[in-house]
Order: sequence, then C-alpha cells, then structure tokens
Amino acid sequence: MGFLPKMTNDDAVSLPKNTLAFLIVSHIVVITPHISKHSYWVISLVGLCLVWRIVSNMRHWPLPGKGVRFLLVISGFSAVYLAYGTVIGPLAGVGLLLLAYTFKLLEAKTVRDAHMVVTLSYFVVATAFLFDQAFSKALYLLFSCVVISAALISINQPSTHWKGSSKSAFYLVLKSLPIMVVLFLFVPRIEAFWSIQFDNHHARMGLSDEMSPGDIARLGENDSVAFRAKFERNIPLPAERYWRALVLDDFDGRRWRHADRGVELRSLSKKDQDATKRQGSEYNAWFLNRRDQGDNYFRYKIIMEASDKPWLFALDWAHPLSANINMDDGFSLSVAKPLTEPFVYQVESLSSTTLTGPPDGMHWQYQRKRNLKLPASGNERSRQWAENVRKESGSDEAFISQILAHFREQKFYYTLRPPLLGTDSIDQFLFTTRRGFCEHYASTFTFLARSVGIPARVVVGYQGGEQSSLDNYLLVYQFDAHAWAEVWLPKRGWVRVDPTAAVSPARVEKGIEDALGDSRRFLANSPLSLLRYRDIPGVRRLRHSIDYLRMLWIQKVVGYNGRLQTDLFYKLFGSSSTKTVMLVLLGGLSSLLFLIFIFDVYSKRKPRMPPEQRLYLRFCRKLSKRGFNKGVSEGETAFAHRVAVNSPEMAEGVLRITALYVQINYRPLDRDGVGRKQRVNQFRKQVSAFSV
Amino acid sequence: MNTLLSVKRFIPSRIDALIRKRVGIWLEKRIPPSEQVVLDHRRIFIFPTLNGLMFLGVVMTLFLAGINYQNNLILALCFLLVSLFLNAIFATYRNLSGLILERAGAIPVGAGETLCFHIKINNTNNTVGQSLRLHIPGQHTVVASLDSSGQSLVAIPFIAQQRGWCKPGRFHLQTVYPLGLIRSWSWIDLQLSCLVYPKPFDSPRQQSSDVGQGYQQSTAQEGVEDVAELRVYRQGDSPKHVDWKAFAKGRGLHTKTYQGYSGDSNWIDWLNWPNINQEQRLSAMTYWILTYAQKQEAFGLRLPSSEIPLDCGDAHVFLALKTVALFGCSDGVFAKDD
Repeated sequence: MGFLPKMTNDDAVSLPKNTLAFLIVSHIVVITPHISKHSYWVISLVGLCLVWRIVSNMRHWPLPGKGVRFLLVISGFSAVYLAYGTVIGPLAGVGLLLLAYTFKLLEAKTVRDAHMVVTLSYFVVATAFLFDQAFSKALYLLFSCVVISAALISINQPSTHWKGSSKSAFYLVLKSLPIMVVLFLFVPRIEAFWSIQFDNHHARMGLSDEMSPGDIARLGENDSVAFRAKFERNIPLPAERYWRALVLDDFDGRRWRHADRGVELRSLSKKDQDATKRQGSEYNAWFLNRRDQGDNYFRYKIIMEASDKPWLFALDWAHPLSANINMDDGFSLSVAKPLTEPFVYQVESLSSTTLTGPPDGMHWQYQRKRNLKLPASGNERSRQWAENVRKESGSDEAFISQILAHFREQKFYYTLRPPLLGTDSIDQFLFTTRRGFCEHYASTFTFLARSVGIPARVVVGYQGGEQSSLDNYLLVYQFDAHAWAEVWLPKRGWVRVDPTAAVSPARVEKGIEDALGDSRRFLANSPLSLLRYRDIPGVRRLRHSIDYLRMLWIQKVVGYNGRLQTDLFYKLFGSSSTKTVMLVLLGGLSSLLFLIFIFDVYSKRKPRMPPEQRLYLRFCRKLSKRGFNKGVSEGETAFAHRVAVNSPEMAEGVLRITALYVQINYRPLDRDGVGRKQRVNQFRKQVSAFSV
Repeated sequence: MNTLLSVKRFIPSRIDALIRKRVGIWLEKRIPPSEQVVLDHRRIFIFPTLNGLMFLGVVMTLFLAGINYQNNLILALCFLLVSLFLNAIFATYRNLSGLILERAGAIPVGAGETLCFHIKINNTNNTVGQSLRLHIPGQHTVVASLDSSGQSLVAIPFIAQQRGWCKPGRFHLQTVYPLGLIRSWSWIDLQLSCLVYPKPFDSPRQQSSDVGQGYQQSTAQEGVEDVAELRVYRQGDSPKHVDWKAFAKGRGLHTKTYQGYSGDSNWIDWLNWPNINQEQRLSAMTYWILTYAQKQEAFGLRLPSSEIPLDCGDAHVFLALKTVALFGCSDGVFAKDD
C-alpha cells in the first residue's frame, strides 16, 4: 500500500455502447465546420470510416485489424497528397489531423482510446479557428465543446442517460466561462519570438492590384462588407467619401497595374534614393503642419475584414496613427503582410477639397515619366481626339473640364453590365459603346490626360458608405468599389478627378444602388441579401445590428492584442506593471474559483419530487389549516377517512382527491404513461380547486 | 496510469519498502483508523490522471499555436480548457468531499472464498458521489454511484486466503468523475475485520472406537422420529424440529431433540484425523461443522486446547467455527493477507 493509488487497469476497460454513441455524435459535430474547407478526398475517407464504425457497431463486426489499419493510414496520406499535393503545411496538416482523429475513433476499444479521441477532438476544434474567426463559428465551437465534454462525462459515468451527461457538461462549460474571460483579458499577450507563418489563402473577393475593364463591375454584385469606418466626431459628406486603396500607374493598352517601384528606384543615383526615402517624413511634416494650422480633419478607426491583400483604406490625405503602417508615393497605406484576419487601425485624414497637394516627388523625372507613360501605339483615334480638344481648350484645367463635359453631355451610360471591349478598348468605349462602369471612365480619362502630357493615374478604392443607424460609423461594402483618376497640376499637385461623377452624379452622391436606377438590377444574383430590402426600416436596422455585433467582435475579441490589454490595465487598475498583472490574474482567478466553490456548496441538489407528490403535500398543507395533520405512519386513505369522519362537509372532496392520488401512485395503468399525465393534470386541478 | 507509475520499477525494492513504510506511518497520523470516517480536505488527495496530463499538453500546444498565429479564438479555447480543468478539480473533489463512510459488517466465509466488506456511505446533500471506485489493495474493484441523498451500502470484495481474523487494513476509494482528468482519492481504514474460517474440506474420518460407533448409529437412525426430550425453544433452532403439535395445543414453543444426536456420535474430534497436518484437520473439522449445521443436528467439538459441548443453533455453529478459525493463534490475529 502506498500513498499514490495503486493503478488498476481501469483505463483498459472496454467502451460502453452509450459512450461510443457520444463519441460518434461529437465526431460529427466537430468535423462539420471542416467539411467546406477540405477536399472531397479527405472528407469522403472520413465519412467512410464513420459509417464503417457505426455499422460495425450495429452488426457487431470486429474492429479493423492491423493490416486494415495500415491500409487506412496509407490511403489517408495518399488522400491528403492527392488533395493538396503535399503532406506538410497547415491545410494538409489539418487534413491529416482530421484523418488521424477519425481512424482513432474507428479503432477505439478501451476507455483510454476514448480519452485519446476526445483529446484529439479539442485539437480539431481549435484548428477550425485557423480559417475563420467569425462570431457564429465561435458559438458553434463552444457548442462543440459542450458535446465533447458530455462525451468525456459519459466515458467516466457510463450508466447515465445522455441527457444527464449533456446537462452536466453544459453546466460545467457554463461555469468555466467566467474564468475563461478573466484569463483571456489578463493573461499577458506574449509576442511570439518565433514565428511559423500560415499561408491561409483562399481567394477572397475584393480589389486587386490590377484593373482591366469589367474587374470592378464584378464586385458590384458582392454585398459583403469590406470595412467599417468609425469616426470620432463628424462623418464626411457622401461626395467626400473617397477611400483610397492604391494607385495604378502602369498601362499596357488594356490593363492598369501598380508599377513596380523597386526597378525604378534601383536606376536612381544614391543621393536620389535617399531623398526618395525622406519623402515619407516630409509628408508627415506637411500633414502635421496643415492639421495644426486648423485645417479640417477627420479622425477615425477602420475595422476591416480579411482581404488577403496588404493594402489599407483611408480618405485623402491620410496619416496613420497605428504602428507598422507604411505609405507609398501614391499616398496609399499598406502593411507588410497580406491581411488574412480582420484588422483594425486608426487614421487621421485632412479634408482634401481645399488643399494644395502634399509633397509628391514630381520634381523627379522618373515620377513624371511613369505618370505620362503610354503604350507606343494603339487607341490612335482617342489620342488624336484628345490632341484636338487640348488645342481648343488652351490650358490643362480647361482640357479636363472639356473632357468631363463631353462625358456629361454626350450619350454615355453608367452600367454594371457594359459590353465587352476588344483591342483598342479606349477607342471602342469612347466612340462606339459608350456604356461603362467606373473603371471604363477612369481608365479612359487617365489615358486622354496622359496623351496630352498631363501626368495622371488611376486610383482604386471604395467610394461611398452607408451610415449605420446604431453608431457613428460608415459601412463600406464590396459593391462600393470604385476607380477614379488623379491628375497632377503644377502648383496644385495631385488633384482628384472622378469622371464617373460626370456621367452619373448619383453614384457619388447617393451610392451605386441609386445610380443603377432600377433596384431590381442591384444584387440581382443574390435574392436573399438583406441589402436588397434596405428600404424596409426593420430590415435595415436588423442588418445594421448584425454588422454592429460583428464589428464589436472584430474589435474587442478577434482584434484584442497586447496594446489593448495594456490600455485595459491602465483604465481599470492604473498600471500595467508585471506586479499588477500578476495581482489581477491571481486575484481574479482565486475570487472566481471561490465564488464557484461557494455556489457549488450551497446549490444543494435537492431531489425533485414527482409532481403528484408535491401536489399531495400541498393538499396536506391545506388540510393542516383545519387542524388535520397526517401521521407519519398513517396511510393516505386512512387519513382521508379520519378527515371525512370529523368534518363531513369536506368528506366528498377529500375522499375524491385521495382516491385519485392513490390511483396515480399505486395503480399505474398505462405502460406508456400517457394516461398518467392526464390524471396528474386532473389531480392538479382538483387540488387547486380544493379549499378548506 | 500504469505507465506513469512504472517508474517504481526502477526504484530498488528496499527503498520502495522504506517509502511505503514512511507513507504508511504518515497516513496513520493523517487519517487515523476509525469506524466512521468523514471525507474532508485532510483526507482527500487529488492529482491529475494521465489523461489529465495529456489534456494539459493539448492546452499548452494550443497556447503556443494561439500566440504564434496571433489567433485570439484559439487562445480563448485554450483558456476555456484551462477553466474546464480547474472546474474539474472542484467537481472531482466535491464528488468525495462530505461523504461519511461507516463500517457495516461482513459475513464470514471460508478461506479462498470472496468475502464482502459492507460499507455504509452517507451522502450529504452537497456531495455528488458518482462513479466511486473502491478496492482493497490487490483485490477487485467495485464501482458505485450513490443516490442523490441518503444512505448507500457498498460491498468491497476481498478474497480471503487464510483462516483467522481478516483485517485488510486500509482500502482505497477513488473517483475521476466527471471528466476523467483529475483523480481524487483517499486511503481509509474503517478497522474492517471479518472472521475467515478454514476452507471446508472433506477428509476421510478415522473413527476411534466409541466415536465411530456413535457416528454409525447416528447415520443409521437418520429419519427416525425418536424424540428423546423436549426443551424450550431457543432462537436459531430449526423450525423443522419445533414441536408444532404442542405449540398448537398452547403449550408454548419447544424443540425436539433426538436420541441419536445427543450421543457421542456427533463429536467432531481433533483425534478423528491422526494422519494429516493441523491446517488440513481444521479444514476437515470445518467441513463437518457445516455439514451438521446444514442438517440442523447437534454436534460437539473437541480440540486439544478446548471443548465445546453438544448443542445446535446458529450461535453454537458460529462459536464452533470461530474456535476452529482461531485455533493456534494466541492473539486471535493473523497477518494481513497481502
């Protein structure tokens, strides 16, 4: 005999049927969120094994032997290899994990195996978060945790009904939530000093860094939120809501691209290279100077969805307040890595309308060259036409107004479904089709400007945004994607010109839904989209509430980080020193544990009496008002007779009720208990009606 | 769990024995033997199981993954699991805490048979008492789940190998309910004891002349209703031998004793088995005691050190069995069975 328990082979006990059923159910629950993420090879192998296990259990087949298991492992690896072309890397790794989990379930024989399966299932649950951190996902996975825990309970208490295990598991998880919150908020967020990066690409809809006719129009059908902008004070007017993403300044005759800066920089002299690098600090100095001189500016926070792209969105002219955000010579913001998770950052922007542009580096020849560059040939008719207009107008400004007037006055149309364009797309659009989406107008305008020697470029981003009815923020959808032009004018710098606004002023003033005119055409392919019913006030509010919750989720939970944690510590405890952190953690944990302990001790588990017994006691209490108390050993019928003899006026009721009670308690007639339920109801009515 | 403790294999047996002895002394002080033990924080030990350690491994891995991928929800899941673990500690502790264990006797058996030590467990209101596993070291385990309140009776099995007083000492009570991640246990000494009589064994009985005749007579007279005398009924007398006719006439309860049984023939004598050793003799004597007891016949017992006169009834049988069981042990106690 020793202090440590001598181990009997408890864990080698074979699995009860109940537990196995629980394991299978929790397997299905845990696997479900992975189904859409993995290839059919992996999923069908998982499904096959699951069906096998269920059927073999029903038919009492033996568990798979060594040879079969070996074959399964081989086929698992080949399925993953077939699906992903590799067996290493995150997605393939998760695929292998799913298969390992399934195989373990298939061969689970003992209590220890079952524990193994459950342990693996927590892993599988966690990996689901690698792909998606949405609130709904989190809720579902919390539910999975309850199911898994119920399976665990059933392993250790096999005799209980599944409802009992589920209930215990539910309360256990519920009791665990407060401690989880404390740990989540206050456990120090260590920065990973190592980093294994996870290539989490699965094509998301959104802007790209090149644009050919029709690209942005495709986004016009997409009603998902691209980002939200929460303003500290006032919100800019609709016409001011130009969210710059990046500039496209390289045109090949059909497609606009973001020019490769690296090549240009390398061709510069050392001195010029250094000067280019100083451009950022010059810009900052200019910005702060303007802001401090009292120019109108907005300060806001952008809560953006994962885009798989590194660039960010901001109003012109922006100045990032969050760390690790870069600005390039097109004044667009970006981060170092593509954003595979939702991202929150803070920006200030000067209101752009009254400003002369910021330092832009146009004194460098290479900048001028880049913004004037056109293909050597092609679109000859447009070039010719632009030449003529320039000659007539006399100045660059006049030329620009002339072009915009042309768009406005001639029969140009703004449409989501423009005709396809061939080679010489500018010519074709300008003179023949005259139907286009924003990219057609921006592209054509920039081409015309460049062809007469005005430096110009295309800017892509979003235009517009719907104000939420819940808070001071704008919702910007994918269909708000927009392209406009920017021209460089001496003394004024870069000036925004939106030719789309000339064709369809409603696009800028009211948004794309109104610009398209017919609401049936808007989101025609997504009939279930709540946005289609935006005119109904209730639906609108519902939609905004959903998005508000999602925004809070992204900001407060998914986006919670070391910096926010420090802020929280300062706000709550006035310090974020190690000592405070330790005190808060220990204090919070111990007080919560104490509370749980107290709660457990005092929430006595009173066995609930069956209803008829409770009712009978109520009946007895009523009688005791008249002085009749049932003796401990006195039978119900004897008691009733005693009452009946002593107070004949109550005799009828007392005898009737007692007879019914006796009938319910001692003569259960129906095996299925239906009649019993009715009788108990009858009994309840009679006891309620009974008065002394 | 075996694997965890297989470390023991690498500890020299002398050191192991020393540790065991030390721990035994410590336990003796911490949970002194008593007929009734209330399980409280002093008496309950708690530690993660192997599955619990595996679970903590998962938690650690999730924490590293959450930090690496800066994935708050993986971290949240990790914290949820930590919290579940902490709650499991409470739940497992609460599963034992407050139980009142009480000794409830055991029915004597022969050596080699399984005897059951009955334990009364009082379940106070706020204790859960599910999936309790009880065992005496080296013996089978019994699993019990208590009712939500009130008393439960649990029988702990023990295979008795040796005659005499069986005192198994401490038994082990443990539970891993609800999640199997934490084990809480206690070593409880309820001063369990039970008489174990020799294993009944029929050896040929060599008759000394007088004894032999008596024995022969008695078998010859079986079934003959030759009532020698009537004596006042004593508890334990067989209803078959009650003089029901007299009872019906209102003369009270009397037991018939028969001619054949009162003679020398029913003496179970040490000298009946001269050629076998002491333990085998005792086994044979037990066999005959039980035989007579079953036939409800009177018998006497003669041992070198003592003699029990002819009699019948439960008390007599028990006395005879006890005498046989304890023969030759001065203090009436044999070593424990392990």
